[in-house]
Amino acid sequence: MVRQSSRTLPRGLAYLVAHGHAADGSHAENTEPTQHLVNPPHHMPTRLDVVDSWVRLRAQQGNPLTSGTQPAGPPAIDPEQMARPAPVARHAEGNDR
Amino acid sequence: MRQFLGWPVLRQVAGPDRRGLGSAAMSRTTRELMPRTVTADSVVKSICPYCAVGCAQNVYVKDGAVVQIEGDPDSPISRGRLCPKGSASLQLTTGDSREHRVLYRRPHGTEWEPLDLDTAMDMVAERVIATRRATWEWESDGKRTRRTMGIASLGGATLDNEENYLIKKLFTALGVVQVENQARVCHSSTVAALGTSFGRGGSTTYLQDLQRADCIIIEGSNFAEAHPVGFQWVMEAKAKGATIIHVDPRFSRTSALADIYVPIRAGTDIAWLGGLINYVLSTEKYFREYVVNYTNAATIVGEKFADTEDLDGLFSGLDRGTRSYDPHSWQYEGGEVAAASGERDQQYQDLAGDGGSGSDAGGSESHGSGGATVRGSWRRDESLTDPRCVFQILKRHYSRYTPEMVERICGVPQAVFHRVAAAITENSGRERTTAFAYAVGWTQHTVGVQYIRAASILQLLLGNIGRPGGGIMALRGHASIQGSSDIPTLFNLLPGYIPMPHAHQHEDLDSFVAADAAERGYWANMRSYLISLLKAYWGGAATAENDFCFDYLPRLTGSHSTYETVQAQLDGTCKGYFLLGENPAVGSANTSLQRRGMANLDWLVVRDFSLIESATWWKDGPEIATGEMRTEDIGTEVFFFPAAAHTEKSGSFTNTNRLLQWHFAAVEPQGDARSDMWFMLHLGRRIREKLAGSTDPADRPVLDLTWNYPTEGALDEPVAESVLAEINGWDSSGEYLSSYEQLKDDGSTSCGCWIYCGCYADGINQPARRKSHVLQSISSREWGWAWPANRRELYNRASADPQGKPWSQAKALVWWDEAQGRWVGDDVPDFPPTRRPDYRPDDEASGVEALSGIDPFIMQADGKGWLYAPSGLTDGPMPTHYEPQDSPMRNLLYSQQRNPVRQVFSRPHNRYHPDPTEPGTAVYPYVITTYRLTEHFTAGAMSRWQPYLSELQPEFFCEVSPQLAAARGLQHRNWATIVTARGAVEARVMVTSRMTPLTVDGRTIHQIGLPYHWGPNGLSTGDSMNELSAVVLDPNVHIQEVKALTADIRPGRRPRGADLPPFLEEYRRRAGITERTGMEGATT
Repeated sequence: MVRQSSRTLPRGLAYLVAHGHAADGSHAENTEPTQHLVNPPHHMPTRLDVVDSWVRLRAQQGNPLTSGTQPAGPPAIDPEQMARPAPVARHAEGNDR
Repeated sequence: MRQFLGWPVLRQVAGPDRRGLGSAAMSRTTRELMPRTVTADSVVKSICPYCAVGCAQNVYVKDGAVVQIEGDPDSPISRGRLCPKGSASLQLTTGDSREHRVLYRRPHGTEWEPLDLDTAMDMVAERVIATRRATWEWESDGKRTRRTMGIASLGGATLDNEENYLIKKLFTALGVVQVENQARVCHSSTVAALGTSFGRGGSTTYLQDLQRADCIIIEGSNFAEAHPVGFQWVMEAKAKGATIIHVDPRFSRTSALADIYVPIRAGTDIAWLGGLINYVLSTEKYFREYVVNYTNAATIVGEKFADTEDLDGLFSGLDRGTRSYDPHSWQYEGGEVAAASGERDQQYQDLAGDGGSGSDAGGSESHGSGGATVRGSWRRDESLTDPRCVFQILKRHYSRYTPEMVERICGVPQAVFHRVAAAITENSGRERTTAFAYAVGWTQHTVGVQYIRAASILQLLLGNIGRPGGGIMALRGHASIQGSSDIPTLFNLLPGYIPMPHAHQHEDLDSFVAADAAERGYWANMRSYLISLLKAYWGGAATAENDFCFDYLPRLTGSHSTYETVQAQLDGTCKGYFLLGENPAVGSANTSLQRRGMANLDWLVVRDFSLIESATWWKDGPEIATGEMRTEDIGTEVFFFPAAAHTEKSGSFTNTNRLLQWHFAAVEPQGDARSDMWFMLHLGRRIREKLAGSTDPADRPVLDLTWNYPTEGALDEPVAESVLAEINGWDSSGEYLSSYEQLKDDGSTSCGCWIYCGCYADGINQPARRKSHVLQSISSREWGWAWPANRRELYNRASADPQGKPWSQAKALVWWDEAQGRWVGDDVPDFPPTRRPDYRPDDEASGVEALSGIDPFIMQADGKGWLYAPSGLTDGPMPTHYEPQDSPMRNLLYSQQRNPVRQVFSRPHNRYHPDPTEPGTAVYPYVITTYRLTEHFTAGAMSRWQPYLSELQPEFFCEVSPQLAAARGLQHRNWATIVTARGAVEARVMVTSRMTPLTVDGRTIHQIGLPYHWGPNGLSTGDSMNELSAVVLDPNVHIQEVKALTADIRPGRRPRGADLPPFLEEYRRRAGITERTGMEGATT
């Protein structure tokens, strides 16, 4: 049993011997992203429409020339207008937003 | 038949695996095994929530649940690696030790009671409103303050930037000034030291850049164990031939991997570094061309300045009565001291009675992104021979820090000193660079700021700042502790290191800006930064006519740091307290004082994963065990809210080298668990609804606050990207800003944190960028986003010579391209991009135009790195060796024993040890130093409840040398009791040669090593090291001294129950300790 183990080249070591670098993708000479090691689709959004529209509204409200005097009470929070329809779970759907 | 053919021997004969070593020997079960990651529905990008290395994680989700967390191999920082804590983060987020329900302890109650989340939120909102009303203060001493001192908060530093932003915004509008976080007790010294030295308070370099160093000195840090994944870059450097040096009281894995290990007496690093400075100056091994052109070495200091060499350990300007320095005499000749530099508020609240010390209330930290202000015009002598030039003053100041003196003070043999001195000088210059890396082993001292200043001076002299493989790496220990300073939940700062206004000098916007803005450099634009922040806070209500609501900001009247807050709790003036992911009953100095303060509150809100010690002290704390408190007598009402984990919320962390990295919510939090962003948004919403219609002018800042963030999901979680967008800023047409240079002072731009401007440029979440490191250069500028302006190496103009050419091809980074007419290279140039190296401003130039082509430190008022700080710090323009508050040694350099302006607090439960010249000093003869372990995290809330981590490090222990063990009868694995004037703890004994007795001035000094993670709750339990420590603070930033103290150690377990207080009292009696012991200021 011991003799067998000593003769068996672990796969990672075999890869290292054959390719000259480790299979974990950390070697600096790799020229492509290592994400191929991960099978499920990953999620990396970069832009949100709901934020863009909210920023435009905030800019409009923040400009004294267009907003006039500040309302006496707190600005109304309109959930229908402000809420993003997608639940957090959408983060896990693999769709770029 | 199929079963028959499946026999291994037949598979072996019939198949290709004739030797039966591979597929033939594999069972079907084995063949069908596959990693959990393969069957996951998706992988969500995240960042490890533990230390500040910022390792990227892949969070695997299946059927709406997190099933695995692994390192992301694309990260340029971690390259797929995770340390034990990061690897255990699946257990942190999905383990069964997390609380998921709100709990309530009524006043004088003996048990927790369940409470629904909605009711709890409403009750807290009512408590805030009532306490605020009862404690509202329009004025203090005739000056407008517009605040409440009745409410305080203390947050952790694993909160997202977006969470910190909402915390500071809401509390500021409510008039709460006692807003603090872990950054105060961890790295506040860094901000003041690096800020005054270079102009920004963040790490000058980044982790991957360490691989380009030719020599790395790690001091005040156990890099390999406290930041293990970041340490790979030190190993990369070593593999390329770099010399690694570790200076530390304790031999650790970092030492084992170093080429040179230097054992040192805890608390003496300024003497050690001063020795190296003296060596560099006296042997003329400084980088002259760099020093002359890029530092203030040539600047002439005013003739009124007197050095510690003249005054036996004191600088000129000391007011012995107020225990504070007047820094006017430290100024450049022709310069004017500015209010921001140290006297913004000398009316310090003297909490210590007649023993209290003066302070500028943390003004030094406001140099986190804008150096200290100097005004006027000054003279330079570039021959460096004028006796009053900085260079000559520095030379004289350190002339007695000889190798012999270093040996006498630090216990470092001269031969070792010379090896290190040779290594750093031989590895500095045009062709080579040396880097420094440090952590809280430097920050947590009564002279913590000056420790880091000493390293800054050394690196400037060697020409190592702004260059590849050089710099100073501030190793921060929490996922977003850098972010917690940038977007501060700190009492003295607004976002972007804009100082909070003081009641005593700043009445309106103009006078505030006049006092704090600079004449030269980018800090001259502070008015634009501030007005854009006020627009972000108050939107349309902020107009030019009302000073953009500047009056809405509450005012400071002294230091309101977390340690002063505890005094205020003990005094009964602070009545309500939020703990947002922080556990001061374990993690802050003098934990008993912390608990006694909380026992004097009206109400306490604790938000955390589990029932930490700061939530349960009222029923099972040490004072209950001793009988000093009775649960039934404690009137504090306690609310416990379960917190969401990093996988359950979106947001950004800012890592140790200023890099913002986004983590995405993978799943919804369960039960009542919510993010702190959710908590603050909905608490603010409820308070605003309850105050709607109020005509009280005190409520206007709350009602006018812009607080209409979009929400998402069933839980109404704020859209984190919207908060990031507000932090980034926009113009009046709603276009996103891309640079702080676009900010205006006319109210047409809004920006929540000017140094983060650009992080949401073009509507893109820049911190979410994830371009693999294998597709980029070392700087990996398309991974995340670093402040400022996505620069990775700060002050990189200094990587080129005064003519704009690289100092050498080996160390090229950024250089002037004559053909393009701009600075180019492998980083964003930290300089006006088209400013020629030969540009010289005329005398009338101001602001950015006043920066010459050889001023690499663009946030400094004079564009130079500061060897000498004419303003900005409260305890001196140059680092000077003082002994720690508790020390067995007298100061061998001066008669002045301790930092004369340190902050001390004379309280019955905060007694100090005798001076070494007093007979009682022998009662506490041993030096203690404290540290973090790889497997645990700060005060334990994120590690002591995890089975994996608890199993790896199950017990509190103390490390002692074989010699000390023999002297005191301590046995390996048996118990020891460690005693100070404050408390006693018991720990398992580890007898190890890792602790080295040192010969210090002819005496043998024994040191004891103590990790500080434990407390009585969780799976892995033990006494808290901070039962031993005292509240004694650095005067610049109010950080505690817990890296060097003294104690006794004896075999056996500590007394229990009512026997403990008399045991401590007997020790104090033998030592002759009174309320005046250790309280002195200047002694010469």
